[in-house]
Amino acid sequence: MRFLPKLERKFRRWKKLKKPPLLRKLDTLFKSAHKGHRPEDSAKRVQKGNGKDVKNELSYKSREQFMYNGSFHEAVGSVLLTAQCFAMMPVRGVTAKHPSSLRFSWRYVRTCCCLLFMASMLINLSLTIYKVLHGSITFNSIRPLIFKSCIFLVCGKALSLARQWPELMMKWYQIEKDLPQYQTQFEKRRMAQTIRMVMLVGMMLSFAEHLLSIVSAINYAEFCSRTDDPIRNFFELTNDEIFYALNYSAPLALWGKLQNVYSTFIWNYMDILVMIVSIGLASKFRQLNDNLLRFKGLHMAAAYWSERRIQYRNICTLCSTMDDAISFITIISFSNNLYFICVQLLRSLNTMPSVAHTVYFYFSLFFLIGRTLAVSLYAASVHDESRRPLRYLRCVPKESWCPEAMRFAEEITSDMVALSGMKFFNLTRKLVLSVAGTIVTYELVLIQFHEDQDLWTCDQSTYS
Amino acid sequence: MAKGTQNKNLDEGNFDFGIIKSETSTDYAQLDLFHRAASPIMLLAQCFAIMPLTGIRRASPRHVHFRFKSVPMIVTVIFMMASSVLTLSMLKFLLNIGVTAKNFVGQVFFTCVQCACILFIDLARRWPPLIRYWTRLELIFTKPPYEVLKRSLSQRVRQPAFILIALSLVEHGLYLSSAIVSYKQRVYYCTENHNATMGVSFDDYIKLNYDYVFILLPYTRFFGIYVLVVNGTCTFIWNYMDLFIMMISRGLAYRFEQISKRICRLEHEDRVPETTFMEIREHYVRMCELLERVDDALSSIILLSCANNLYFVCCQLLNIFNKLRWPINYIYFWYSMLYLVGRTACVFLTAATINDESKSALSVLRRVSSKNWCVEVERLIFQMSTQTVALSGKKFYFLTRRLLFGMAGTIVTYELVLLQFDEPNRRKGLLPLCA
Repeated sequence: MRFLPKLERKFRRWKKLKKPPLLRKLDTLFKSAHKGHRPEDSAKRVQKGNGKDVKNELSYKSREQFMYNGSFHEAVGSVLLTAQCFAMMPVRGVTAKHPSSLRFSWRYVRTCCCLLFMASMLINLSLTIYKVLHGSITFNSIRPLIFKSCIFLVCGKALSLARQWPELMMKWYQIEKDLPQYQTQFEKRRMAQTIRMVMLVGMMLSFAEHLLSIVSAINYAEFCSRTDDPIRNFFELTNDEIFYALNYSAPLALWGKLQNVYSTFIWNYMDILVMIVSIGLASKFRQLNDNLLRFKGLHMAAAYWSERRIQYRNICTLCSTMDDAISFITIISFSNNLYFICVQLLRSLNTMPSVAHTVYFYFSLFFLIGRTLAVSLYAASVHDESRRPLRYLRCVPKESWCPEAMRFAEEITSDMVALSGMKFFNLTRKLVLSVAGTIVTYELVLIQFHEDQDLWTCDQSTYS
Repeated sequence: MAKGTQNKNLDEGNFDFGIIKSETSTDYAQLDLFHRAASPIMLLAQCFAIMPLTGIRRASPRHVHFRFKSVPMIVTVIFMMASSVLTLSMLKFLLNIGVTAKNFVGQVFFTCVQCACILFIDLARRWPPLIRYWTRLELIFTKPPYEVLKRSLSQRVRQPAFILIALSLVEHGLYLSSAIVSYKQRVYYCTENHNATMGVSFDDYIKLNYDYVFILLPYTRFFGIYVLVVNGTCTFIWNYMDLFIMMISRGLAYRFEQISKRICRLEHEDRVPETTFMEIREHYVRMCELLERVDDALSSIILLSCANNLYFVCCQLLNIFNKLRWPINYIYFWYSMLYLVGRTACVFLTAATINDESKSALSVLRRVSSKNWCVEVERLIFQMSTQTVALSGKKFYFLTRRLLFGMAGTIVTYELVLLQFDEPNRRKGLLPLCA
C-alpha cells in the first residue's frame, strides 16, 4: 500500500513531463487562476501528509506573499522595523501591506522606549560636557561631544519624523499609484532589493567596525592596566566620561555599553535613512523616465505629454515634501561626516600603538569615507534622474511637438529638483567635488597646527 | 542586376523598396572618418599594451573586435604582470623606509599607469559597438551639404599625436641623460675627492637608480633591461591617457563645427525652408547623443587623467625652489615641468572646444529673420543654450573653459600652502654626495 502513492506521484510526474512546455505553462496558469483554492488545499494536504511530501509543505505561503507591488512603503518596511529595535522612528504598522495602517501615538510601548533612550542619551551627553569642560578644548578633544550631540539631535528629529510618517507615506502612495506602473516583477522588485542591500551592507560593515573597536579597546586596556580587573579596565576606557564623574559599578558599565551600541547604530542609521529616501525618490523618477524611453521618438498626442508633465510635477512635490521632512537629518549627517573625516585624517598622522589599533583605525576611516561618498552619490542621483526627461523631449518629432511638451521641457530646465540640507546647499554631483576640495583645504591648514603628541599614553584618557 | 544587390552594403540600411541600387558599396578608405584618422595611433598604442583590439587596420569599423584570445590582449596581460611587479616592489620599499610626500610620487605614477591600463581594457571592450555607431553617424557628415573644413579630420586628430609623442620622447631622453650624467659625475667626484672605489657600469647604474625593484627580484642584466623597458612603456601610457582624450575631443568638435558652419552659411540665404532646420536639429540631437555615449565610455579615464595631472603639477611646482647639483638637472626639471603644465592645459583646452563649438552657432540662430522663424529654430536655440554639451569626469565636472580657470586657481592655492610646509627642508640645501 505504501508504494502506491509514490507510484502515483511518479506517474503524474511522467505525464506532466511528457507534455510540451507550452501546455505545461498553460496548466500552471490555469491552476493559479484558481488561486483561492490553493491555500486551503495545501493546508488540508499538510494535515493529512504530516510533512511526508516536502514540496507541499512549502506551499503554506501563497504566491502573493512573494510578489512585490513596487511601492516604497513595502520596500522600507523591514528597514524601519530594524531601526525600531534601536529606538528610532517608533511607528506602528510598517510591515503592513497598505500605508493607511501606519499609526503613531505617544502611548505606544515603542514610543516610550524611544523617549527613555533619549533621556539616557541626555544624561550621557551632560556627563560628556562635564568631562570636556574640565580638560583642554581642542579640535580633537571635542570629538565625543560632537558625536553624542549629533546622535541626540538625530534621535529627536527621528521622533518628530515618526509623527509625520503616516501622512508622508499616504502622500507617497497617492502619487505612486498615479505613475505609469511597471509590468514585470523584475522591475517592481528593483527598488526594494536596492534598499535592502544598502541596509544589509551598511549594518554588516558597521558591525564589523564595532567589533574591531572592541578588539582594539581590549588590546589597549590590557596594555594600560590601571586596576586588576580587566573587565573594569575595558569599561573604564570605553566609557570614560561616565566614570570621570561617578564611581565604577557593574550596572553603570552595562548602561554605558548599551549606550555605545545604540549610538553606533544611530550614527550609521542617519546616513542610511538619507540613502533610502534618495533611492526611493530616484526610483520614482526612473519609473517615469522608463516610460518616456519606451515612447521615445514616436508621435504621441498632447494628452500624453500633459499627463506625464503632471506626474513629473507630482514627483517633484513629493521630493520637496520629503526634503522638508529629512532636511535636518541630512545637514547633521553631512556636517558630522565632514568633521569626522577631517579629525580622523589628522589623527592618522600620529603613531599607532599596536597593530590591532592600526587595522581598526584604517578600516574605520575607509568605512567613513566610503559611507560619505555613498550618501552623496545616492542623494545626487535624485537630481540626475530628474533631468533625464530632457533627453527624451529633444527627440520629439516636429509633427507632435505641442505647447504641453514645450512647457514640460521648460519646467525641467528651470527647476532645481534635489534634496538639500535645510536649503543651504543642494545635493548634486558638483557638491561632492566641492566637499572633497574643502576637506583637502582644511586638512592642509590643520596639519600645520598639528603636533605629534603621543595620544596613546595611559594617563590621558582621550582614547575614545 | 542580382550582382548589384549582392554588392549592396548592408551597413547603409536605406532600402528603397522596389529600386535596386546600383551604386558601389561604401568605400570607407576614402571617407574622412574618425576611425580611419585615429587607427594608426591606436595601432602604435597596441605595441605599448594599451587598448587590445583586433582589426583596427581595416578601413571599415565592422572588423574591429575585442577578443580575449588575441595577440594584443596577450601583450597587455604580460605588460600588466610585469608592471605590477614594479608597483609591488616599490610599495614594499616605501613601507620599509616610511612614506613621505616626496617619495610617494613614484608609487602614484605606477598605480596610475596600472589603473589606466585596466580602464583602457574596459574601454576596448566597449569600443567596437561605439565606433560602429560613431561611424554610422559620421556618414551623414561626409556628404553634402556638409563640407570638409579647412583642416581635415585626419590632420586635426593626428597633429596632437605627433607633437605629443615627439615632446614626450625628448622628455624621456632628457630624463635618461640627466640620470646618467648625474651618476657619472657622482662617481668621478667621489673617486677623486673621497677615495671611494666605484666604477662606471650599467649594472651599478641600474642598481643605484632602481634599487626598489631588486628587493623582490635578484639582479641580472636581463632584469636591468626589463626595468628600463617597463619604465619606458609606463611613460608612454602616462602620456597616452591625455593624447587619447585630445584625439576624441578633436574628432567630436570637428563634427559640431561642421554643423555650425552649415548654420552660418544659411545666414545669407533669403528663404530657408523649415525642413532644413528640422534636419539640422535632428543631426545636432544625434551628435549630442553620440557625445553622451562617448562620455559614458571615457569618463573614468578623464577622471583619472585629471587627478593624475593635478597631483603631478602640484608636486613638480613644490620643487621649484629646490637647489640642484648640475646644469643638466635644471634643464630636465624645467623642461619636464613646462611639458607637464602645457600638456594639462592642452587637454583641457582641446576638450573645451567641444563645448565652444556646440554653442558657436547661437549668435547666428538668434538673428534668423521673422519670415524664416519656426518652431524648430526655437527648439534648437533652447537646446543649445540650456544643455551643457561637453565631456565630463563621471558627471562630477564638465570639461569647459571655466574648469581650466578654476583648476588653475585651486593649484595656486594649494601651492601657497604647501610651499610653507617645505620651507625648513629647503633651507637644509644639498645633501652630501658621497656616503
